[in-house]
This record gives sequence, structure tokens and C-alpha cells, in this order.
Amino acid sequence: MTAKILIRDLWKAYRTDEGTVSVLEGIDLTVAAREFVAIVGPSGCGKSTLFNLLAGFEPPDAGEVLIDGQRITVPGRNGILITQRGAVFPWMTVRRNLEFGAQHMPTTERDGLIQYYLDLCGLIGFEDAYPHQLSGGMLQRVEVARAFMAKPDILYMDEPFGALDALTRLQMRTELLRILDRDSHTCLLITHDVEEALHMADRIVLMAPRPSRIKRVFEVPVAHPRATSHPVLLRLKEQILKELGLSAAGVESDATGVPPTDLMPRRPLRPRSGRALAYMSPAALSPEAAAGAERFDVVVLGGGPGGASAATILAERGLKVLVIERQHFPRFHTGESLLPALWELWDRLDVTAEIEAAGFVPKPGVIFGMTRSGDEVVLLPSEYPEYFPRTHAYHVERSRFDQILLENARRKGAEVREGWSVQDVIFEGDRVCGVLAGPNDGELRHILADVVVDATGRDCLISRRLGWRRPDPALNKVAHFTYFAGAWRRSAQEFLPEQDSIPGAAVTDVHTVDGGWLCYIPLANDVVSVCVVLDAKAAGQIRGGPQERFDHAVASCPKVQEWLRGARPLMPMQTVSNIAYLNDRFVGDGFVLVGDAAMFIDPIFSSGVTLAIRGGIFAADCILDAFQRHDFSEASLKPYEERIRVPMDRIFRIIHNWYELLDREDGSNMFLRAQHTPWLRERLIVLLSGGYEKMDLESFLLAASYPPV
Amino acid sequence: MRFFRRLVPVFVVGILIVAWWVAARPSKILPTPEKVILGIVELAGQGVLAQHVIASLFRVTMGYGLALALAIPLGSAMGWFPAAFRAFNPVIQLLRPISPIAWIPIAILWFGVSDASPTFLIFLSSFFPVVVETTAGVHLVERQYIRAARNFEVGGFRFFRQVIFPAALPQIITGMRVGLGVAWLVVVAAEMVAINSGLGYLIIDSRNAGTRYDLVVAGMVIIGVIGYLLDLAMRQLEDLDEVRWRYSYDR
Repeated sequence: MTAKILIRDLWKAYRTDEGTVSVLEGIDLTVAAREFVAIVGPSGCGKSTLFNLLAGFEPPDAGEVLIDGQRITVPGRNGILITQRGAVFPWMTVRRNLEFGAQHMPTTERDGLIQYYLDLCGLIGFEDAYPHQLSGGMLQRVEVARAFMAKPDILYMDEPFGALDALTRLQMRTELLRILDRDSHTCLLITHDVEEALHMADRIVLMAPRPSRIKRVFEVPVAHPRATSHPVLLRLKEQILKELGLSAAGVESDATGVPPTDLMPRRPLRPRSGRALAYMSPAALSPEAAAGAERFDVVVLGGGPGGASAATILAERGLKVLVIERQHFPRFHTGESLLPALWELWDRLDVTAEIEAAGFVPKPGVIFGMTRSGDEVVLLPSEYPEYFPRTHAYHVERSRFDQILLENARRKGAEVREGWSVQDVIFEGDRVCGVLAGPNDGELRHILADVVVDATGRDCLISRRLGWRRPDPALNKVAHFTYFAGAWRRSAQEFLPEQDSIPGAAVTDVHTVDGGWLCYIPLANDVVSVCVVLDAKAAGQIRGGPQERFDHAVASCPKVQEWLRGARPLMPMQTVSNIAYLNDRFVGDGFVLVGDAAMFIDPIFSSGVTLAIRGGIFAADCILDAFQRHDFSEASLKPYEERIRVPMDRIFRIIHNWYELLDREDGSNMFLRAQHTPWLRERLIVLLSGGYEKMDLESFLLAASYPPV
Repeated sequence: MRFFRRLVPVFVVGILIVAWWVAARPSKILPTPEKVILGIVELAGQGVLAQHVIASLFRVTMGYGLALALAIPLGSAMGWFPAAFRAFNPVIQLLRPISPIAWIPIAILWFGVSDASPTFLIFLSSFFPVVVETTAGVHLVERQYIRAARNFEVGGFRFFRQVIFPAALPQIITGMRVGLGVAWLVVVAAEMVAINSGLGYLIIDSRNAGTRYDLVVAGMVIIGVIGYLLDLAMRQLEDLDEVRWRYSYDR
């Protein structure tokens, strides 16, 4: 570990009328580069004085502060201090404040950086506002953005969110983590909020007053993003509060009964025995049936990417999980082009190695072709490598990919029953408490669970049953697809710079066709998957069946027609109805909807798999929290919905925008404009790579819909 | 409702004018409002009024401008450097209570009967409020702003121009407003003794030359109106976005 900050035996006292007051008495601390250290302690323990010394605003009486081995004597832009009081200049606009942070830079570089941080900190649209016109939360964002403008190595944050209300504080916390995730800084945070420290920091330093020194240091061994209800965090919180002299008893619902020695519990999160089934007995369930019922903590309906992801996380944390899948894997499915955003999710599922070893064709990016104008827009995530762990993705056969995920769930401890179907959902009042399911031709049984995860895809088992599902006729599509052998393959080398080239890589081609668009996905073993998505109305006007519609569409795109010349279809034409639909709610008492079972929009930007896996993980996080509280009500599961709504709503709007723009192959088309406008290009690439939360959408859509005159 | 609220001051002015009219009617010397208005029209018609107004405004501009040019840098230096404060503050506090009127003889001695005398008096009157407020404004710039500038390594003149001056500006503007008010107050007194043009001269001349009290009062009214307009203009400064932050809380 390289020491970014080295604090050696630091002493500081102040002279007052009543004599000398000692504030710091021998502080020693080493902070590694890129580490996030939170300093927690009661008022008057010298935290702020410590920061003043670290940032060079005051000299220590004894000892020294070394940053990168250099002794700190004066403040500098290498370490920016952010305080609760805020030092955003009220006489400057937001933009001028940001400029102030980077006066040493050349103007062009500075302007680019301003745009970047305005966007990153959600300040687009407020550039010319004066601070007194902004809310406290916005002001704090300006403060943070200005600090980043100086490109500091270190951020000292002295209760940065102390003056904000609880809700804004929580939001700022998450946002700051998001920003820090992008730019790497070493961070020191002073806070009196233990939960804040646990949420953000790698290490927590506990300071005690009189004598003012470091009392204890806690490591926080939990990966981001963290749910504050994570059992490790809860126990750490208890320990810290105890050290601070506060018993955990009075603090929220901390008494979870987590054994104090077990850092990473692999065991069930609560005792499962001793609860009579009769208590659960739903109205529809006879006592005899209940007596013979199977019991699980969670039942996941559907073994696709969403269901498998949820099951993986839940089983890994010791819950008893059952996955019910109608088909036997590998099942037939279309070829799919995956997105770079998935790497983070695969890491979370601990399945990255298998995916990499599966021999999928690497996908460095996507080409959008505007058939009418002949323009082609090449979008390569490797142009902006800072957003994703790896910038390429894969073209996959879904059959294979889905199987890897489901096997992973099984390996992590979930019980998977393939070739089983769900006959019905068992309700107890409004509460879902299990399912009636069995082998495809076999006898049905009652399976009870605290939570049912509906990941049944377009079947939408629960939401249909409840009459929630609302089709969106504006996006009523029909898809025809098949696999070809011997089709032409477009090499990615012609677009990729040397250093980014990946052996065997190939781009996904999306081209507009008469009545819709088509997707040309090169898979392994010289197979190409071609999928035509047509507006249902337009498709209805083409005479003939699926094959005729497919041929008609391909014929309207000479480029692809040429590529397919002489290619041999490997199977009959497949048809899928792709009408978009929404659910107003994704959760209810005892159940959650994941992936396509929650909402289906459109396959155009390959968002489905990303959203399903993300949904599965988010749902699992929330269900784990619910098990902590032992509350499986709608309210308890609602955080999942709030979390997944963000990316879902965003992709929904991007897709609507795409179809509005589809007919405009002129200068206002955002894809064409992205070729020449770097900031638009960056946003487009990041959003279409699945980084739906990583970009400010408003400014993008605004720019996309209002062409420059 | 808002309309009526705006009408109230107009109503008060109306009552005062009526009272004036009632009081002045029996008097042979005191002019009635309509006579004053006729007087203003007469002055305006001869083009004399504009001459006097311009002369007065010219002197104020000169004296006031000179005061700002000296007071703001001096006040800033005094606010920032303790040594400068220690050096200059006693002198300023000593000279400040002396009425500009008391300087008239000295002014005539130094500058004679010229534009320079009233300009000097106006300079004296507006210099002190501006220097005092500027000193206080700079001295009281909040520490976190200064620290932020040091943190971002912004120093020298840039530090003054981007941080100290704008931070103190609201208070400087308050000083400027007070200074301009005093300057306008003093211009009349200065012109009464020292010169043969300007609104002050108009009043004295009308009294001496033909006991034209209607013109005396007309001069007073015009001084009042211009003073009011000048103050309104200064208030506009306080509405600038760059300084609003400081005033917004008491509005």
C-alpha cells in the first residue's frame, strides 16, 4: 500500500483566555491512495482541526503531515477542503464558480471539464444560476463539482452534507459515491453519522476527545454498492456505536440477532424452524395441502437472466431458494448483443470467469446504419474507457448464456427445478405466499415462500393474474429472427485502433429497414443471428407470412441483403410479438416483478438482459433487507422498485426518442450528430452501453430533440 | 389590493399638496403649487433649468467619482492590511465628523470661485461614507471564501478582483448610496456660496434677484426629485445578481 497521506504524531493546541486547550494529541494515520477514510467522533474531538492541519490551513505544533512524501505547509489545489458551511461564491454563477476551481488550466481544457462536471453533478440547466437561487442540495453539488475542477488528489470533506435534510443527504451520498467511482480520489470524510461512514468508507477511524486521539480503526469489508442493512454493516454499526458510548438498543432496529463473531455470514439470516405452517395457511390452501407443502424462503419463477441473478445473490447469502423453470436448459433462444454495463453485474454474481471462458464473440461496439441516407455511425465504448470495467461486451447465444447464469445460481446454493411449470399463484388475501407448481406432466404441489420473485419474462404470471399489465400500443412490434451460416462477417479491425483490438471481435450492426430496423449479430462458429423488428401495423401490410416479411425488410436494406447473399438459414423463421407493456407497480405484498415480467419496452438497444440482471440483483438486495426486518409487505419491498425504476424509465425514454427520430435521417438525428459532437457522442455511447445512470439524461434528450440551428 | 397599496404614497403626496395650497393661498410671498409648476415651466422654457441641472450633476459626478476612485482602494487596503488600518483610521475618524460646510472658506481659499470648489466639497462629503463601508466590507469577508481561494491557489490581484472585491461589494454599494445622498445634499450648499450656476445658485439667485419665491420652491422641488431619482438608481445596483445574495434576507 502506497501511503498517500502520512500523518505522524500530530499535536495541536490553542491558547484561549482560560489557558491552553489541547486539541490533537499525537495523531498517527496512514491513508492509501484512492482510499476512502471516514473519521467519526463526538463533537470537540478535534476532527475539524485535523483537517485544517491536513489541508495546510494551520501548522501543527508538533509532528508532520506528508502527502506523497512532501511535507504540507500551505494549502493547495492538490487537496481540496469541503465544509458544511460551504464556500461556493454567492456572487458568481455556477459556471463561474466552477471556472474558479480551474483557473490554472487552458481555457479549452477547462471548458470541457466544466461541461463534464456540470453533467456529472446534475447541474446542467443551472450553469447560469446564482447560488442564492439554488437549494441546499444543489449548492453542495456545486461545491463538490468545483472541488473536482481543481483535479485534486485528495478531498477533505468536513461534514459536507451536515446542513442538508435527511433525504437530500442520502441522495448526495449516493451521488458522491457514483462520482468517486468515476474519478479516483483519495477521500477523507468527517461525519457524525455512523451510517454515512458505513455506507461510503473503506475504513472508519474513530476519534475520542480528551485526550484527542484515534481510538479505533474499523475496516469495512463490503463491496459497493452497499445496502446499509447489510449484516456486516449492521454489526459494525453496533460496534462503533458501542465504542462511542451509545448502546445500539435505542438505535433503529439493530437487534437483528446476527452473531457477533461471524463477519461474512453464510448461514441463514434468521432461524427458520419453529414457525407452524398453519400460521401461513392461505385461504386457498386446505390444511392437508399445507401440511404437505414445501417451504422455501424465496421462490423464483423463471430461470432466465433476471431470475438466475436474484437466486444467485439470495442463495449465496444463505437463504433457501427455489428456481422453477418451465424448460430444460439450454433452451432455444435468439442471439443477443450484450452491453459493457454487464461486467459490473457479472462481478457481483461472481460469474465473470465463466462468461469470459465461454468462447463468445467479443463485441467492441455497435454500428447504426441509416439505410436511407447511407450514413453509418460507429459507436465504440473503448473511446470512453473510464465508464466501464471493460469496454467490450459479447455477442451471445442466449441459450448458452442463460445456462451459465442458471448454473451459477445452482452452484451458489439455489435449488433449480427445470421442466417444471407454475400452475397458479397462491394468495392469502392480497398477499402472495406461494405457488402451485409441479413437473410439466406431473402432479402439482404447494410450495410456500416468504417472497415470490416473478421472473417469468413476457408471461408476466403475477401481473397478468392481478390485471396490472398495461400494454403500450405506441410500441407494438413484431420480431422475426433466424440464424444463418456462411453470412458475411464484418471485421471490427477497420474501426478499432490497434491497441483496442480484440482477436475475433465483431461489431453488432443495426440498420433501419422499411417499417422498422434489423439487427445483425455475428456469433461464434460462423453463425450470424439476424432479427428484424417491425412495427406491427407496417408488418400487417406486407403480404405473406414471417418469411415474406423478413425478406421484404432485408430487401429494403441493400447492404444487409448483400451480406446475406449465399448464406444458409439454419432454421425456420421464428416470430415473437414484442408489444411493449408496463406495470404501475413492481412489488406487492410478498412478491416482486423482475426483468420482462415487470416491464418490456423494445429490444432496439439490447437493454433487456442488462435490466433483467440488474433487476434480479436489486430485488435480491431488497429481499435480503426484508429478511432482516422480517417484513415482506409491499412497503418493505418498495425500495427495489424505486431503484430499478431509474434505469428502466431512462431506457424507456431513450427508446421513445429513438422511434421519434427514426424517420428523421437528417441533421437533427442524434446518431448522425453524435458523429461530430464529442459530448453528445460520449453520452450516447455510455447510455447505449447500459450505463443508464451514469449520464445526465435530460441534457442528452434535450440536445437530441433540439438540433442546433 | 396591490394597486391600492401603490396608490397610498400618491395619496399622501396629494394631501400634502392640498395642504400646501390651502396654507399658501392667503400668503403674498409663499407660492402655491400651481405657481411653482408655472415657475418650473418658465425655467424649462428659457432653457435655464437644464443648464442648472446639468451644472449641478456635473459637479456631483466629478466630486463623487473622485471620492470613489480614492475611497474604494483605500478602504480595501485598510480592510485587508491591519497596518494600513492602523495608519489611516485615526485620520479618517478625525476628519469624518467635520461638516463639508465648514470646509467652504478653505475651499474658496484653495480653489477660488470655480467648479473646483464645489467639486472638492462634494468629494469630501462622499469620501468618508464610502471609505468606512469599504473598510468594513473587506474586513468582514467570510473566512471560508478566503480559504477557498487559498485552497484553489488563487492569489494576487486575481484574488482581490474575484473574491475580496465582490464579497465586499454589497457593503461598498451601501457606502456608495449613502455617499451619493450626502453629495447631492452638499452640492446645493456649495453652489449657494461659491459659484454662479447650478440648482443651489438658482435658489439663491431667485431669492436675491427678484424675490421669486415660486422659483425658489421650484428649485427645491427639482433638487428633491433628482435626489429621489439618484437614490432609485443606486437601489437598482442592489438588485444586481452579483450582490443580491447579501441583501436578499432582509427583503
